[in-house]
Amino acid sequence: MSRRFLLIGFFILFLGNLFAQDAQTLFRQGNRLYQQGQYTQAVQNYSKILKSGYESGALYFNLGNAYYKLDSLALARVNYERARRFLKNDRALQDNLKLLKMRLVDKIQTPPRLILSVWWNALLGLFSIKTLSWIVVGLFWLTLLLAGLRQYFLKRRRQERFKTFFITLLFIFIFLGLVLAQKIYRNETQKFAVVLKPKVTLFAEPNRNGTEVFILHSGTEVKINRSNGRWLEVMLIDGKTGWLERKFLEII
Amino acid sequence: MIVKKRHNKRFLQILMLLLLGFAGQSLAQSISIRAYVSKNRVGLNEQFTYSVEVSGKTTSLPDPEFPPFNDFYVLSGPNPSTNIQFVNGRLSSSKTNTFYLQPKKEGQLPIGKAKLTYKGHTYTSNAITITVTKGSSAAPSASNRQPRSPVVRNDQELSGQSLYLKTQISRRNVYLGQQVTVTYKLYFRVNVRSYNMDKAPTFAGFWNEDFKLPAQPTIENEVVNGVNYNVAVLRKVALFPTQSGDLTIAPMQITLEAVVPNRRRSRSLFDSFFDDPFGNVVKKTVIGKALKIHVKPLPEAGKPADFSGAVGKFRFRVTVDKKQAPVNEAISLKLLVSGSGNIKMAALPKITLPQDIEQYEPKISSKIKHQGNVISGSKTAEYILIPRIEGDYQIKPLRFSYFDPVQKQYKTITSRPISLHILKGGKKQLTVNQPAVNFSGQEVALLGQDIRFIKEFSDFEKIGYKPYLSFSYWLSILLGVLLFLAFILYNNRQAVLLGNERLARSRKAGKIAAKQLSRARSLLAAPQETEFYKAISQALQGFVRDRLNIELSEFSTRSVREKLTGRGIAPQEVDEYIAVLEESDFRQYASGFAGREDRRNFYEKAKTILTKLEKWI
Repeated sequence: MSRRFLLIGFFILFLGNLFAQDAQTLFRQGNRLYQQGQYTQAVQNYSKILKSGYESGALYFNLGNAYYKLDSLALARVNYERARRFLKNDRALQDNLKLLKMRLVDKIQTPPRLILSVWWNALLGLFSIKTLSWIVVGLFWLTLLLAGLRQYFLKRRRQERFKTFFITLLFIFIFLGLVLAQKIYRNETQKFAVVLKPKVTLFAEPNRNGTEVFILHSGTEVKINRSNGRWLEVMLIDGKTGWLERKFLEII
Repeated sequence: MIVKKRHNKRFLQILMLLLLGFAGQSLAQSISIRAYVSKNRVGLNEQFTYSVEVSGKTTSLPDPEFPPFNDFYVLSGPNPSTNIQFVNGRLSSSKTNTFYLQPKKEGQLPIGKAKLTYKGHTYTSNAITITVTKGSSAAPSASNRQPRSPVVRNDQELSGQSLYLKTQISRRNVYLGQQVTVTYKLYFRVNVRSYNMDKAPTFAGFWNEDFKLPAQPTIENEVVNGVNYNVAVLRKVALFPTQSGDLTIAPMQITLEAVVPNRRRSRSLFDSFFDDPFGNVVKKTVIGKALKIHVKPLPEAGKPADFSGAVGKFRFRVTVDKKQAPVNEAISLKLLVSGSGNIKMAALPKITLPQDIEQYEPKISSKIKHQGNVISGSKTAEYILIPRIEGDYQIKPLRFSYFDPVQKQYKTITSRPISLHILKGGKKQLTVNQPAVNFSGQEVALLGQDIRFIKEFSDFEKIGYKPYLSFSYWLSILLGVLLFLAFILYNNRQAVLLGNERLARSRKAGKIAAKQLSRARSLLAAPQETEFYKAISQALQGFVRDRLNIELSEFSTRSVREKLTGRGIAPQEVDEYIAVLEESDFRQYASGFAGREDRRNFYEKAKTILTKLEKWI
């Protein structure tokens, strides 16, 4: 019985591997096409990988590059922002995003923020959720190991050992656990989107007859506050809010 | 040879056929027929002329078949007149048949089409409708009766019907920067002597280019509503809108002097004698209509980043006069944009050069042709490049974008890259300001900015994979907790077992010590002094170690003192214990024979201290 289960498990693993292999060949083909300047075909190849259910930071980065070369800045922005979830502290990605933002129509000033909040955000941006999750698990194991050792010595020799080390570790573990919790919370609640259409008017209420508040151009990133039917309320980084229809946006 | 001849024959045959075909076509096209009247609004008792003109390139023009004049009295006609012209060796002739007609009744009276059959083709003229009103259409009014004022006078007769200005535009709905041709035409049926432009039309919101027209306007014939007019093109302008929205083209205003034929009136003989024998010269001011043009903005979708506003149809080329040159020899690089459209507004792309090629400000020139119906021309930028270091260089492809209003889309032309091969300099330097290139190295200069290259490697994961929602993640945490708990349980059990062992040991401590003491007692009289002291020392040490569970390696004066005081034993007793223990250790190795009494005393001392300690611990 257990043998059969083992076989099925292996088969599933093998299948998964097979698909990943397929993604690798598509990725390499896409890269070759990109290098030859056939950006449209490269985009098609990269999109096939996404359609087969796989993603990666490098894939989104390359897709963004191909769209940039095709002059569709909005789609390039979408993919760069998606890549940012995976690639932290990636200089190439930051450079490309900076270059792209310089070419956009809307230049929105970031309002000055409290230095503590800047630090906190920098800390949150240090690792991707995936990396941080496994770091926290590692720390958890290390803390348990140390607690076990302490117990061992306490019972046998009736004396304390590794006290400061243990406390420091415990604090780091709790702190990173909090950071992770915050990251997960943000990931689950905050949604961002990029304007796709060349020019979009935002209204004060979810209604075409409402007062026109401001106009956005393609490639601008907005934060989604809430939704109402086909309409979304979005917020810019400088705090302006307005309603627009969902079809004008691509959610990151 | 024979084959070739045959070929030639066939070729000739085809050529002949083609020529004949062309000739037939041109003959067929050379005949035209048109009909016109002297006026299309007449009074019931007035007469007018109806003319049918047949023109062609042959001398033998056929006679047309005239329409029936059911509603008119034919007063005279047909009166034929023939006109033959040779212009530049080409013959053209026309034959005009004129009828003098008078309407029979009031209302809209049609005159049918005149027909002509020539070489199997049937040609028809236009039909004309005459509006007949009661009485005379141009009844002499009081103002006309003004006595012989100067020769030049205003004449009401010269209004609307016989003289007007028409503003013609090629299209009303255009894109920003798309060409609109505006033609100002003067339609007249009187003899115009001269004209003077009072108000040149203004073109706010446009960039305008005048077409070249002959100094003396050419006069053509055109039939409007059945009336034959002379038409002169006064001005033809190409306009390129520079802003979007509804734009107005201001009208043109001219004043002209025209000769109108004398009307026969009941005047004295002298009056008519002093009048101009051919008619009166009148002055007239004519204003055209203002026109509106709707200018659409260019579409945003697909607008290239380097689009500079060129609209039309263009070609783009980049050339160099030589691809191979020695160092310090000037190379001329030309960017050429040519085509039709708002060429003056087209900005030429900027060139980016390898750093070691010096570049001077370009000479920009543009040429515009004002012939035909479309403004066309070219714009050139000529750069002088001076390579400073030998080697192979490449001038990157340049892009020029424009909007094609016909296909309604943006187009981008990319030039080919140009490779330059720079040889070792034969000539000495020409210019002084050579960049300081020393052999210690150059700083890396940023030539251009573009996005970073793609990533070559990647490992993929399932879309939407969240570690904190995955089974393996929580399994690893659970596994850690379970392992920890298992260890704690195990550790505690071990500790309990260990504790039991210690308890047994401390319980046995008294017995062992007693055994050792009794052994020492048996050695009181023995000759081996060392054995006696050893037994005492072991009894003292072993008792404390077993009771306090101290390993031999950890046993020292200090640790024992700490542990004993920690158990609440009075310091003086601890001191006593340590003193006895140290003495016993000392005496084991000390030389010199101690007496039996000495040994007994020492034995008693150890015994009392042990009994005391046994109470405490």
